[in-house]
Amino acid sequence: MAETQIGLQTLPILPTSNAVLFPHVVLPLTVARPKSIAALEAAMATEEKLIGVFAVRGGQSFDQVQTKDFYQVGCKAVVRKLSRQKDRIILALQGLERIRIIETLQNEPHIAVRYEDLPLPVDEGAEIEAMARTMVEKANQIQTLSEAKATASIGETLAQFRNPLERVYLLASILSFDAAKEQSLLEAPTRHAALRLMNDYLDYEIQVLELQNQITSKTNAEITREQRDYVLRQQLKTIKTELGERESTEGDIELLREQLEKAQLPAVAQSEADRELRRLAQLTTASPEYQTLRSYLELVAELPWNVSTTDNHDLARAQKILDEEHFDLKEVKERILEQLAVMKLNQAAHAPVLLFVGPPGVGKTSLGASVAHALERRFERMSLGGLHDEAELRGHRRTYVGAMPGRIVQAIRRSGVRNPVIMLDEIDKIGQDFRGDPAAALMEILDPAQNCDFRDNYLDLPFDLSQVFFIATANSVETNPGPLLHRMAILRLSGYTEEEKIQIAQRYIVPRRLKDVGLTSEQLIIQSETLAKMIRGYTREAGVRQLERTVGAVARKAARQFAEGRTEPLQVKPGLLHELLGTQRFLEEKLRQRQVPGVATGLAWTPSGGDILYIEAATLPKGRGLTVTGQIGSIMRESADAAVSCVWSHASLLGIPPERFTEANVHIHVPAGAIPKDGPSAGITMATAVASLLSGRHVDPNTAMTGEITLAGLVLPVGGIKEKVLAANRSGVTRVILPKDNKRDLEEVPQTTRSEMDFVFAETILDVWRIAIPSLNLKAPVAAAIF
Amino acid sequence: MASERKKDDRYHLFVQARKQFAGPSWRPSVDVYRCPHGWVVKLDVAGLRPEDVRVEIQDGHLVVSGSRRDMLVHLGYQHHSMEITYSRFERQVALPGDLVDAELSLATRDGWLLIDIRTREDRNG
Repeated sequence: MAETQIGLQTLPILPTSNAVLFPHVVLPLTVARPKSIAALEAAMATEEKLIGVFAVRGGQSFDQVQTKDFYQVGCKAVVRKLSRQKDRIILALQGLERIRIIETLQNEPHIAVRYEDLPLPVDEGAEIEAMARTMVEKANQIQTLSEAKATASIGETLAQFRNPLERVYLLASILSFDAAKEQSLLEAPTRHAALRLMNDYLDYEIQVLELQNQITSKTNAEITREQRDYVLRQQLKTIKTELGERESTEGDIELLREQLEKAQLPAVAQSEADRELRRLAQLTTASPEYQTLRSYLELVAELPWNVSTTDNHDLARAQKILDEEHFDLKEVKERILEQLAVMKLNQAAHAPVLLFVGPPGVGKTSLGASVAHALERRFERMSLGGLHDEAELRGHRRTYVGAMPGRIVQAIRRSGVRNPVIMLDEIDKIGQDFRGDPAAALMEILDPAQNCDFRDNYLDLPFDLSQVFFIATANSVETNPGPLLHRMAILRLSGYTEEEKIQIAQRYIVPRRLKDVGLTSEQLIIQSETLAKMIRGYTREAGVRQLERTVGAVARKAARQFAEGRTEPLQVKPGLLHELLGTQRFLEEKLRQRQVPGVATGLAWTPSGGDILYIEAATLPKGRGLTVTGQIGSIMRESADAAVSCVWSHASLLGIPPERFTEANVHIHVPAGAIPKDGPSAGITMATAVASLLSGRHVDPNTAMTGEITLAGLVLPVGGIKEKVLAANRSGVTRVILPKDNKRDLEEVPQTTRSEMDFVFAETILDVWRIAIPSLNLKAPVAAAIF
Repeated sequence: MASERKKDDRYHLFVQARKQFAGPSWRPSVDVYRCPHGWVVKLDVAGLRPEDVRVEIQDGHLVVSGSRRDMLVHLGYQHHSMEITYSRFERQVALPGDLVDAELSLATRDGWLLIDIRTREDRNG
């Protein structure tokens, strides 16, 4: 290489504060300080534009800088480019070679020195090569750690320079270490020393960067985790695609779309469903909302928006089915057939809402199933007993976790048609609490004017319930809210008579039970007298459930005998029942044949049918007023007051000295004391008991009575005549006193029962007394006595 | 964010630095002509004084080196801006022919430096 002839060996000096110029490296600089500009001007005034560049030691004031403030080793440079700005000069300096200051020639206006060249070291060796390569690796590591977006790898660039020192100088000027470190690299006496220093500095740099990244990653931990999840999910997706597994989301959505199309939704529902479907497509399967939305859309697709069954309007067939499946219940069947006739003539008619009211076990529920059968509609039954949450009926809003559609919508979905028969069982046993009143929700559902756009909270779309045939059942109507009853056509199924029960048992129960235990009607014969005894002695109910269990028990005992080797048929006679069923569970209500004065036989209606009850009255000497006991309600208490007052007002007629009312307390007790009772229908019975007590005459033990009494002694009509008469008949009462206005109700009572008993229709209490207390000699003619 | 910016800047600078890495001298541009009598190498070194240039054959390469000096350094002249490169330059030119015993002659015309090269083959051919 040609050595330059330039040998002046003096140079103006440009001090730099935080950068060291390395030989062979171009450094852009901005110069603004007067002393620096003066030095530069001096350099520019020479033909070769040479200048010395020296770094100022750390901590030295820059303005009053002296030669002693520099490092003594610097770089000779040539000014390659220059551009003057207003108050500064921008220039590019190219480092040429290393120099050392020998002496300072001047300090003002710029520093000028005499210098000597300090040639770059040229030592070589395997160790130097190794260190040079290590340096390149470390440089690459730094580039990775600092996430630099450089277009070329730093290592590749460095590799283009063969001279290890050039690599060191270039890397140092890129990484901009602090001036002291750069100066130490410049001053290094050998390549070996320079590389060792450089590797140390790079190690330090790597440590700093790693620490920096750690801090950054900690602060960004939350965001990073989400990003990580996202990346993992994308990878999973890719893996699935690679494995040829169908991407489940798209498949699901496609399937749902097809189902929704098939469902032929109404326009409102369709647009809503489309919107939700679009939302679903944007969710990942892992999102909790995905499942919620998907099951919602499945529900929408599954609902029978447009599917219905065709009703069978063949009335003769319907009659046949009803008769086959249920014994008697003429009235109810008539009403059902009428309804079917209406539906035949006017197919657009709203389906009716029927309410079957009757005691347990009379077949309300199975009658509903028969209606569905006769109409050829789907049948869905739900029990509302104990339901106390409105949301059960109407569904939860979808915002809640685990939200579900209400029972009505679920029943429709199960049935798969929009016109099923839905049976709302035990509607009188709906509860009510702070979560709302399910009965109120039922009102909307059961009102044909409102339920054509029923909105379930979950579904949140109008669904037409007007084609649904609702049948509700209840044991009594008293506990139902009035507005609800108002929406329903009430059909009463009263209890069965003994005769009816025998018929039911022979036609349905016995064959069914025999089949259950695997016997034939030839093997086990149950006579009708035996059934009658079972009904009286082992059951007490309006329906036939207990009877069915009892027959079942007999059948099982018989089955055991046959299983143990019996061959000849078993004929169950009444006498055999004791052996098969044990002692009689219910004593037949034997009439008290010997009654004391003050006891009268009343008739009561209970949810399980009718019953007779004895009303007992007694006087307590020295007491005052009236005591009534036996778990009675306020209506019955008032009725008792009226009865006593009525007797008092008729005292002279009955031959009772009026002072008897003042000298003793009257106590009326209504057994059984554990059963709550209420209602006005025991009025005449109480009046008769008190009259009997105070007059000292016996009430005819074979006579039972029911009727409300007024203060004036009028007998007013009451309900439940059929059940009461049946109960009286069961108990062996031969004569029944009824209010005159209840005469027409007697038609409900089967002819066989009627023919066995005498009926007296009373208009006033005197009519009652005359029959019930035969030994009583009423003082005056009846008609004249009161009216 | 500031630290990242700084890192980016650092590597931006790196790319620039690579361009600006210049070695110990500057390199004038060169045209090489083949002509009937041999080779002509033309260098873009306007303002170069003949006494400041040295031309040699080294290891089969033509090596031209020297130093360009600014002539306008009289008192009262001051650079407002500078783009022309001064000071030491060096240029190696590889030629396809064998340069052993080649005859060299220098001339300047209109600011270009022209180097005539007659190789042994050219002289014989």
